[in-house]
Order: sequence, then C-alpha cells, then structure tokens
Amino acid sequence: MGISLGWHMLFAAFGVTLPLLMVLAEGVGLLRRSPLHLELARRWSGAAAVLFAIGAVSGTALSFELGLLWPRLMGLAGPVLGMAFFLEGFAFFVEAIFLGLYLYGWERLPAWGHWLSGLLVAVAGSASSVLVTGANAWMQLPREGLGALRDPLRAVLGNPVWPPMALHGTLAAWTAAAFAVAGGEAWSLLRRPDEARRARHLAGLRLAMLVALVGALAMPLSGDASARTVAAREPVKLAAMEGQFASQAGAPLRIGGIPDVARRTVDWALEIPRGLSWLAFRRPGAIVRGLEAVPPSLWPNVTATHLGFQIMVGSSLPLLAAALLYAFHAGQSRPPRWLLRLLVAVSPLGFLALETGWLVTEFGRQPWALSGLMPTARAVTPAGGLAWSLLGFVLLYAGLTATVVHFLRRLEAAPGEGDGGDGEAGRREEAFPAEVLDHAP
Amino acid sequence: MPPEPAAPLPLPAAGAGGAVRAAALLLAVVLGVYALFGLADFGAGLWDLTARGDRAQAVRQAVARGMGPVWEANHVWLIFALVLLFTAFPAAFARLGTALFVPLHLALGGIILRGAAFVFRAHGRQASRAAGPAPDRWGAVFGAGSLVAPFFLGLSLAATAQPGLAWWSPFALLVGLSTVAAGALEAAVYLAAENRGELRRRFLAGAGASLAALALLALPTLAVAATAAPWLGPRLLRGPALPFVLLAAAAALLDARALARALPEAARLWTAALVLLLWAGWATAAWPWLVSGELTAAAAAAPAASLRQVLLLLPWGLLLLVPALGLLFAVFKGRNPAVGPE
Repeated sequence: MGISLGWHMLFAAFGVTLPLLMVLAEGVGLLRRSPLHLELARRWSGAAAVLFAIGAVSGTALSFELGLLWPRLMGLAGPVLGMAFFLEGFAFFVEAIFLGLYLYGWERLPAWGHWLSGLLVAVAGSASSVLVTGANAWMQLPREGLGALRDPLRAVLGNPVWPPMALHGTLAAWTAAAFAVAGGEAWSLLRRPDEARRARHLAGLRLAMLVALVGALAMPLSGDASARTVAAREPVKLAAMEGQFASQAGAPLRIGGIPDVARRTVDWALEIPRGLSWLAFRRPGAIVRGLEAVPPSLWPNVTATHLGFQIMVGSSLPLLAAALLYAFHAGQSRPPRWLLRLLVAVSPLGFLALETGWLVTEFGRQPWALSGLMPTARAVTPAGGLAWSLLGFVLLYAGLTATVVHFLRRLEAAPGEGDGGDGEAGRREEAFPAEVLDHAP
Repeated sequence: MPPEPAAPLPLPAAGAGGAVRAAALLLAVVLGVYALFGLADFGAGLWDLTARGDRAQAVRQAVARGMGPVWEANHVWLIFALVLLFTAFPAAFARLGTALFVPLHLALGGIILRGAAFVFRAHGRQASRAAGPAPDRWGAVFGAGSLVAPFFLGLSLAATAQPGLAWWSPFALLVGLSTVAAGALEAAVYLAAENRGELRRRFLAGAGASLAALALLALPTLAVAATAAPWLGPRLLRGPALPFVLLAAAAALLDARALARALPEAARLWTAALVLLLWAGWATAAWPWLVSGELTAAAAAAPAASLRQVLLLLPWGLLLLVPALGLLFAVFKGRNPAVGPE
C-alpha cells in the first residue's frame, strides 16, 4: 500500500502540476500569439497524457488496495474516509473529462475554449489533491472518534489538521513537479540544441521555474503552519520528528543527528537552544512534550521519522537556493551553464522532499492506522499472500516507471535531430491519430 | 502491545431503510454505467488483440481513435463505484477485499497494464515515427490486460452470488466469460457506428459473433446458477427480476435483427438496453444481499447519517459531471461526418 501510494504520488504530482504548466504556456501563447509557447503547451500535454493515465490507473489500484490490504480499516472507517474520496471523486472525474477534451480537442475546440478546459484540468487536479488529503488528515487526527460516522462531512472538512496538510502537500506536489520539469528543460538546454528548440526549452524553463519559485517560497511558510498544527495536535509525532525523548521547557531544535532509541538521545545533532519551543509554540520557554509522555509501545519508529523529517527539510533548502539563484539570472537569454547544471542536479530533490515528507506523516502516526482508535496491525488484511501482492506490485511499478522514463525521453527527442521547428507540426498530428485518420478507411 | 480499539461500531438498524435502498440503487446505477462504457473499453482491447490480416492496422487505429478521448472518463465510473461501496457499505467492501483477494488482484493488474500500455502506444506513435514503424509490443499487453480485467471482474461479481464467496467455480467462469463477451459486443457495436465501409462490416460481424457467444453462454449460466448461486439463480426466473430477464432476451433478439440488417445505430441502442437489462435483472434478483447469504445491504451499510450525506452531495456532483460528460461525448462522438449513408 505504501509503495502504491508513494508511486501514485509521483505521477499524481505531475498530473496536478503539468496541466498548470501547459495552461500557462498556452495562455502565454494565445496572448502573445506565440507559436513557440503553443508548441511548448502541446509537448507538455503529451507528457501530461502519459503521466495522468499512469496516475489514474495507480489511483484505481489504490481504491482496490484499500479493500484488499486494509479491509478492517475500511470496514470501520470507510464512511469517513470514503467521504473524502467521494468528494475527490467528483474533482477527479472533472479532471479526466476535461483532460480528454484538452488532449484530443486541439483542432475541435475554439482556442480559448480549449485553454479553458486545460484550466479546469489544472483546477480540478489541485482540488482533488486537496480533498483526498482530507482522508489522510482524519487518519492523523480522527476527531470525535467513531462519532464521526454520524457526520463524516464535518469530520473531514472541519478537521483542524486538514487545511495545513492539504496546502503543504499540494504546494509540495507543485514544487516537486515544477523542479523536475525545469530540470528536464535545463538538461535539454545543456545539450546545445538548435536555435528553434533552444528558444522553446528556454521558454519552458522560465515557466517551470516561475511555478517552482512560487512553490519554493511558499513551502517553508506552509511547512511552518503544518508543523505548528502537528505540535498542537499530534505531540507524539512532533517528538519523534525532532527526536525529543523527554518533556522539556525551552526544547532545542535538532538539526541532523541519529536518534539512539535505547539510550534516548540523539547523537551528532546540531542543537539550536530553545529553537524547537519557539518554532512549535512561538515561545522560547514553551514546554514540548517528549516521547516519554506515552509508553514506548506507542512510539513510532523514531529513527525513521526523525531522519525522514531531516531529509525533507534538508532537500528543500537547496531547491529554494537554486530557485533564488535562477531568479537573479532570469532576465538573461542564455542562462549560465553552471546554473543549468545546478537545476538538473537539484531536480529530483523536490520529489525526495515530497516522499519523505509523506513518510514522516505516516511513520509518525505508527503504531496506529487511525490515531488512538485502530492499531495498524489490526487494520491489515488477514488474507494470505500479502508478500506476493507486495512483490508483484513492486515489480510492476518498477517496470512501468522505467518505461515511462524511457518513453518521456523518446518523446522529448521526437522531432529528430536537425529537423528543427517546422517538421514538428506534422509529426504532432501523428500523436493524435484521431485527426489524421478521420477519413482513412 | 497495541491497545484495544475503541467502542465497536453501532449496529445499523435492521431492515433496509430508505437511505440504504437509495444508496444501493445508486451503486447499481454507477455499476450499470460502468458496464455500459467501461466494459466497452475492455472489449475494444479484445478487438485490437484479435485484429489480423491486411486490415489489422485500420482496426487498431479505429480502436485508438474511439477510446482515446473517453477511456479515462469511462474508467472513473469504476473508481466511483469502489468509493461508493466503501463509503456506503464498508462491511461489504471489507469482506469482498478479503475473500476476493486473488481475483481482484488479477483484475487490478490487468487494469493497470492495459491503461499504461494504451497510452504508451497511443502517444508513443509520435516518438516512434522518427525511427520507422513501431514494434507493437504494447498492443499485446493492452489486449491481454483488456481480456484479463473484465474476466476477473465478472468472476468477482459471480462470487458475490455464491455461498462463501467461492470464485473458482463453473458458474463464476461462465459469468466471467459472459462479461468479456458483453464488452466485446458493446465495443464492436459502438465501433461499427463510428466507422464505415469495410471496417463497419468487420465490426458488425464481430458484434454478431459476440452476441452469439453471449447467447450460448446464457443458457448454461442460468442452468448452473440454479444450484451454484442458490440466492440468485432461482430468483432470476421469477418475481421482480423476471421482467428484466425477459426484456433482455427481447433486446438480444432485436439486437440480432439490427446486426443482420447492418443497422449499427439501432444495434447500439439494443446492445445498451441488453447490457443494462441483464444487469438490472441480476441486481434485482440479488437484492437485498450484497454478499449472498452473508451480508444484506442493510447489514453492510454505514450509519444512516453518513448515507444521507452521500445522497445529499450527489445531485450537486451530478450538476457538475453531467454537462461535462455531455460536452465530452458531444465533441468526440456526436459529430462524425465520416458516418452517414454510403
């Protein structure tokens, strides 16, 4: 399940972000009457088609697996979790419908109508990300316990941990995918393309970095809001994230370090005195509850949670730095090669942060599937063959991921070397057989 | 030691209240829509797989063109049905997920592989033209996945009508095969209506073969159902389910006539009616059981308050979806200058 979800997030993040980028590109193209930007939008939409489809099938896999792997969890809490999925379902439906219109409707819809369907894809994509987080938020803080079954709508939408989680998670998806796209465009620029393609990659880089910069700047703010909510609502998770074993007034902020659970210390950490108390509660002397407030059997895996959190924060800082550096050079028509190399180098970090951030949320909640209500061990399926299921999915996902990567590279190289700008329009037609073959037989 | 879970669920009220009936009806409708559109996508994969000879490429292109814009939206109905199942009937979802661990995994594998293979192929055309004609390895994956998925979905449906959710039985096999045949019939008929000339003739012939297969499967299925599915089988042929079954048989005859006269629009109508009537008959005969002999809709249902919320949200969602879906099909399916009197 974790693997499916982590894998789904990779593609879902693109599914949420690429429409945003392609709509930006098409909007610029239409406003400035720039064929360059329109071509860019078409290329991004080709990638979006593949990534969205994989996101959709992996989403199907998830809704099956909820029952296949977590039947008891769903039997107990299905109505509440389902409410979030139900709301998300509408958003996802809208996204799928308008993506179909967008991908296959270049020639069948008026230009602005086409752009509008792209915009709806982008809006619905982000909405579905926000709504589905509601399910996870309720697992972190199942307010009112099973009383929530009497009013699932309020339990999901009125959950205080939901808005910061949804905001943080959706921004993270935008940022991660935007940096990945920017990395791809920077990679293409480094390979010294001809003028026509260079201009397109440069335009792509600009738009992707615009989204990346906004995301990278907003991430620490939303992260802070998220962390303060965790501090207030999920003290055990905060303690595990920070490796805070004892309850303490004026607790320090630990940067890095490896928790030693047996001795209840964190080795090799850089400590900023009173930092944690200030960050979590805005008072340097505030008391931070430590792990020792609950019995060790209820502790999450402290090492994994702490390290995951450190990796998440640690990988987002280079992204912010890279985005700011790019902002200073954005006006140049030829960004320096070292900057392009840097952008390629940091491009996977957004996804690293996205995935580790989610792992922190999940590890930090253990041993509970529903905090305080249902332990994970009781939620999992009693059916045999779990290991086979896991192995099968890992192989399947690994294979598909490799294919997608291979595929996207071919898509990028499609126009053929030296065949420049004008051959592309004709080739594009072939990606949409509907147009070419309408009267074929 | 993980602690005990909190208080057990409040027991749902006995008997099927209005909210339970409405939620079950909604689930049946969503599954019906999926049977109408989603199964057709699987069937299209079957025609893709079996395409042979000089026209094979044209058949595949017709499939890609027909499915491309709509298959993802069609597929969302399945996700919708699953979400509805675990929101409204969590106990049934939990039971099915456990007992049908194997067939649902196989169906899921098929769904994942065929979806991925379809986009790889459809959008890979662009990339592959540069280096000569594409080797069609994805076509085989797409076709095989399209065969496996509906078969195991049908198998799982049959299991819900058998004692103890037995899914490996002659009855389940027959229902699985019938599901595949129904999808093939739908796809052939829809594709016949969307194409013309030699392609249309091919798809009409394919539709005829699928209809014949479906009819041949129907008799042994009914015969086996009487004993294998004691809660469902006998009730298909009496009481409120009988009219649906009889109407389905009539629709099948009309469908055969339309196919024989090469009238794809009429065949499309009768095929849709046939599939929906078959499903309506099944659902009516199965009611009130979600899992025959084990779980009724009322026993599996979520508390009435959460059911009511789902039902209250629904019209708003439909207000959003129906015009959007209408637009999608109007743009890609409505106008088609290629179709017309020859």
